[in-house]
Amino acid sequence: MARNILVIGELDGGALSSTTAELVGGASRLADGGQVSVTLTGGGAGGQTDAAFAAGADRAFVSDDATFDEFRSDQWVAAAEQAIEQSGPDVILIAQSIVGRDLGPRLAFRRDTAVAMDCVSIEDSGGAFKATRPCYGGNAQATYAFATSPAIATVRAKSQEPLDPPREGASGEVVELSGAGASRSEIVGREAAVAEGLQLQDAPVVVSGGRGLGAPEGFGLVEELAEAIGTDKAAVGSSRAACDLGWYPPSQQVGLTGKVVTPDLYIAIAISGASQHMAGCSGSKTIIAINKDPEANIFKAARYGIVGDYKEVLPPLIEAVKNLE
Amino acid sequence: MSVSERDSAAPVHPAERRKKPRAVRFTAAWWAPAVGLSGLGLISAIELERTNAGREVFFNVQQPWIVYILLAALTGLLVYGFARHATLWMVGKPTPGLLREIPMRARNAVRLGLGQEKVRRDRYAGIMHLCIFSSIIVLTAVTAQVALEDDTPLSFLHGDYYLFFSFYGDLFGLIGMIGVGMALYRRYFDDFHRIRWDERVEDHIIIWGLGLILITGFGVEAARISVTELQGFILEDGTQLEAHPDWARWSFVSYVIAEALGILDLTQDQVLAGHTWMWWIHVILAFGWLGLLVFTRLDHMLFAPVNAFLLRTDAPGRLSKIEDIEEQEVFGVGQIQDFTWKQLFELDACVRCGRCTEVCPADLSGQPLSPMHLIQDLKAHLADVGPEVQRRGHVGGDVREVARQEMVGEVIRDETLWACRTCGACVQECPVMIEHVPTIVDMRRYLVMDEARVPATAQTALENMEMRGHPWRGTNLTRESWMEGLGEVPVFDGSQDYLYWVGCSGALVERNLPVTQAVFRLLRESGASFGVLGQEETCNGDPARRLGNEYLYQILAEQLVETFKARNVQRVITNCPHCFNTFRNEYPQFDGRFEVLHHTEFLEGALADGSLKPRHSLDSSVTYHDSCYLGRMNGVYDAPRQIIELLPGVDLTEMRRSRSKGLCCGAGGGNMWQEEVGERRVNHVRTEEAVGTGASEVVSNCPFCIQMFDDGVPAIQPEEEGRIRPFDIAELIERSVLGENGAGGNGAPAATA
Amino acid sequence: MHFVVCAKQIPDPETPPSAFRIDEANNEVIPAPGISPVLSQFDGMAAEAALRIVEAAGEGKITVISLGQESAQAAIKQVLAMGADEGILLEDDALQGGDSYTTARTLAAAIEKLGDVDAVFCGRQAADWDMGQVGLGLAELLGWPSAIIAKDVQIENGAMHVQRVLADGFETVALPLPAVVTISNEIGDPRYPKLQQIMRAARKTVNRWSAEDLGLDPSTVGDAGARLKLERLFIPELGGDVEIMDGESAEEQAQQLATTLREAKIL
Repeated sequence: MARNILVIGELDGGALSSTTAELVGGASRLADGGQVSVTLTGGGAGGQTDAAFAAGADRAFVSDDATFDEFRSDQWVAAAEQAIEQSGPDVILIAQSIVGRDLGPRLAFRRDTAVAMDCVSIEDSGGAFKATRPCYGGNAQATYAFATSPAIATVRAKSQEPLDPPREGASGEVVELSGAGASRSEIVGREAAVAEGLQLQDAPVVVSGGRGLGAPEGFGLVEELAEAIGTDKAAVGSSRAACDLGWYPPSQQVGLTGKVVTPDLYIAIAISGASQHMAGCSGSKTIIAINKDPEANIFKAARYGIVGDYKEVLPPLIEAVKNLE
Repeated sequence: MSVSERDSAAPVHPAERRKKPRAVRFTAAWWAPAVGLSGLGLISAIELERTNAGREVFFNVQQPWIVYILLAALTGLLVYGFARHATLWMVGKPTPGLLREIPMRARNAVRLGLGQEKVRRDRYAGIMHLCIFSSIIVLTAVTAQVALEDDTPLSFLHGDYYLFFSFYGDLFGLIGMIGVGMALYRRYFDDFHRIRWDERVEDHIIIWGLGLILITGFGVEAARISVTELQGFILEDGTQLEAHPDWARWSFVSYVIAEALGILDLTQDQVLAGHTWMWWIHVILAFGWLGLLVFTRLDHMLFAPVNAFLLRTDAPGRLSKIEDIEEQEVFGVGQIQDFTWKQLFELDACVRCGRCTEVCPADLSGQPLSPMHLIQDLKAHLADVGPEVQRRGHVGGDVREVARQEMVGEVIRDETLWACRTCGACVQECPVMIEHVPTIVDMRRYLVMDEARVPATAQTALENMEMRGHPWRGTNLTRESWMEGLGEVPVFDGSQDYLYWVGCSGALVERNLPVTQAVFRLLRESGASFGVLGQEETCNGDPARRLGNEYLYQILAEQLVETFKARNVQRVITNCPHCFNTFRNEYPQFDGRFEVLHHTEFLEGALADGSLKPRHSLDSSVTYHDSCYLGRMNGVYDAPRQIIELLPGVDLTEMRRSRSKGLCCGAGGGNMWQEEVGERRVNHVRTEEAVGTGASEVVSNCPFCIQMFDDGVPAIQPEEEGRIRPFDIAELIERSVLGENGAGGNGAPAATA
Repeated sequence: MHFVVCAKQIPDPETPPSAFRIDEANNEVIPAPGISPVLSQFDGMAAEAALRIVEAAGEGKITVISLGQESAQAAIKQVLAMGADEGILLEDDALQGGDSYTTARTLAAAIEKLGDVDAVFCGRQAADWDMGQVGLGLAELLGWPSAIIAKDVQIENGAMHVQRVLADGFETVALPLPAVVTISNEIGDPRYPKLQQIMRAARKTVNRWSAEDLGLDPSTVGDAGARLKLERLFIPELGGDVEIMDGESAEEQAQQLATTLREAKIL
């Protein structure tokens, strides 16, 4: 059944974000002949329409107003509403991002419908739109049907595949949205986290430490391992328990309430693997667990493991990794 | 000057602190000894003379009756002084139960007080105290006899008894001198000795004072002997005292001095003048020195036996129960008047000897707790605010406003209280029977229940006990995980002899599962009738109580006592010494009376009576670590050593600190769930000691100790090769009885119910 | 100032995975034996945020509201023990079940009934369903501004200053009151209550409001009013088949792992 789908797009450094491309790709498969629209708002948005069409969109709602570069609920809801009025979507997809976490529920309540948050799969099941999402800290998953329309879902990064290959040179309709309107909230300050080099979400390898390190100093070895793998390849993460103890900056937290990462290789050191944490790393292609406790949950999700004290395992592992080159 | 730099600055390394004694604190000010000195001499009469064989009492002394005026003055001073002390103690709350168990208390007063049992744990100090103490007792008796001879119709200082009297007077004078000599040596020539960690002017005055009293005593006697018994003398009334060198020799010390005086070739008048002077100096010193009883730590002569009388008569591992906790307004001790008067009395008994601090695992590791300083800081705080609290209390004023400093937080810092392991080493060593641990826990109770000031990680453990019934946050195990692969595990239903209590650590901490399984297999092998509670187990509350959350403890304890009663539990075997101590010593406070055994005791019995047979030689050298709650708190020292004896091929090497002097692993008192503050970790210190024995295994029987060693070994022995391996004694027995894979038992009869 | 803290009682999120079971026939989580439900951790943090503001200002009232069953009293008492002033349990057969929409609707009705509320504090999400939309739904239904995932909240000159957590740092947002804020774990652990307060909380009566008290049509709340219909609840398969390095020593195991990774072209 043909469906109209609206994707609320996001820009990342002025370019179409990779998650938006994934969502548009997913939407074009789900649309089944219906129309896929995408909103593009923020400075330089107009230049990203072709990328959106290549990713699978048929129509782009665009506003170049740089005010959209920062997220203010009221402005983004108003822009989304304009696009909804004009495209009449059956389904609205939003990334589970800083934007989506806020915009999704706001929009759902504004439009008197419902949203399923943080979905990992969306499907058309015999004409009914269904969304599956993790819950109970990742211990369980739930599949929902929607009683109201449009169905809104915020979608976890990397859970949808972008079109492969992209529709290079595809074109579509461009609709201008009005600029950002009034906002009740006002952004009065911003502070960047000290992020050196590689971003956690972009790193092909993430090396994470947990509460089992026993002391903040334990992260020294974790960082050494990341360095040995290569500063251009590996980033360091942390479990929530370790962040809450103040052992590592919260910006590096991997988990349900931190960052969801999907690297090629995830090395969990002295992390027990509470489902809360697994929710943030279970999308990794390969998980390696290093833990004293052979019963630790992390081994259930891991592909390779070493049962042992990280203090003894890491120094030789760092050496061995260095010698690989 | 009640709080020195140590309290305001960052933690100071112990060695450094010891090098730099705290600011001199002369508590009762300088006028005190002056007043004391102006009182005159009880001992004055001491060496007043022996004549025919006996002598003229008050020989060569004008107005000797002044002595009695001085005696009266001293008595007044002592009465006034101790009344003043007592008003400060009485600022505290009533101390319940002091009149129970009088015979045992009397025994304690004799054994620990007069008998100085604990003083003798340090042999040097034991000998020194024995010398001085016996000397004072005997010389006081000597003096009393002189007074009786002179001022009552009694007359007995003559003839053979006089000669014997002369002999033992000199003998104990000499013994006293030896004691003083030992004291002086330790004070001045033993660098950084613990007795100098908190040294004050009074310490010098006391010891020099006593020495001078003894010296002048001998001097007086020697002068008299010189002019009378050696030369003969005519008294003013014309009485002829004949020379009696044979009598003089009985006063063997003074006789030698008198003979030596002869070399100086003094005239008789010079000797007489010297005699008079020395007599008065001796008298005044003696009275003054006794006056120090009121103002200095000399009071331990009286307070130590009294405190021994006041010492608890129940198990040392038991903390007090707050009765009707829901009706209280203040739960812990946050201000000085919240202590009991016994706790305040103890502060006065402290002699600053440093024994507690010397054995304190926290202090040994450079962590911010020294039990001696804690007691002294509290004592200074009592002197600071006590009088005002007392005055206001008297007129019904608000006493909670008195303190200028928070007692808990400023006088005693939070981290000092949290560093305590409740291991009881300080209590064990204290020669004047101070109980530091209950005092510390009382202040923790204030921090946790009244102020809710808890270190984050300890808070997590407490919350976890409250919400989840165990302190191990984030465990992936359940209380049934250990049962996997063991076949049928009997559930306790009231029909079996024993409840096998696994405990939270035994069930929920990975390292301890093999221990739990070993105990289980051994129980089954021994044919014992037992069962387990599985999911029905909950934390018995021990960590909550030791961390100061008495309320949570009571809730958990009451629930569990109810469960035990409902299940008809009579006898319990525990995995963990902490569970063991709680069930055995503390649950009776909640009307839970069960026969409680630690697995070590049960297994020792089973090995001894042959129901468990060690078959395999282990070819292993071990050292045994006494857990505090099995050892010091409950006196189980022999059972584990007998087990090791019974296992073939096992050599035991003791660590320097073992049995009642054993050092805590570092986890006690809720420190399993705290981050340590300070130079080193306690478990590293203890692991070093275990490694130092050269043994290949360190054996204990406490899940906390095992974990602490597991953590400490890689830190002390970075090389994996040749590391010491920590085991529970049950694992050792299992290896010998059942073989390496735990399956070599003899037909293992299943203990199904 | 009058603040509302929304508190939810949930199955213990720290239930060991091995004890976590689902009744797939009824799409329900089976309570693990011996493990009691707890206050959703983020809600405790929301209470902490509100309490800090009241403490700093030296005045203010905090009402804690929970939508749930009788047992949710425990969650309310916990927040009362932390220092909240009043507790309201929204409990009624008609209110049971439901989804984020009906929850927000019910809570909004209660907040409107209170009337004089200046700000609402919610956890960033309930640690059972992990939706994270009730706070925003409330804001939308009440017509108030909002900010989510806060690590710090201050109130200055009638405006709320919220420091919120972004992917790459923090951002301070100013909102006019009344407003809704949701709190994240970065704010720190909720306080440990004083025993005196626990006792006081134990003695306090928790008010109960039903759908009727709130003027809500039963067909719009609870299961009847839900817009997301739960069709299936299940435990997902984890990767599994872990290969444990079996070398004798840590060195060997480490070398083994490095070699394996190289052979599998992972490193």
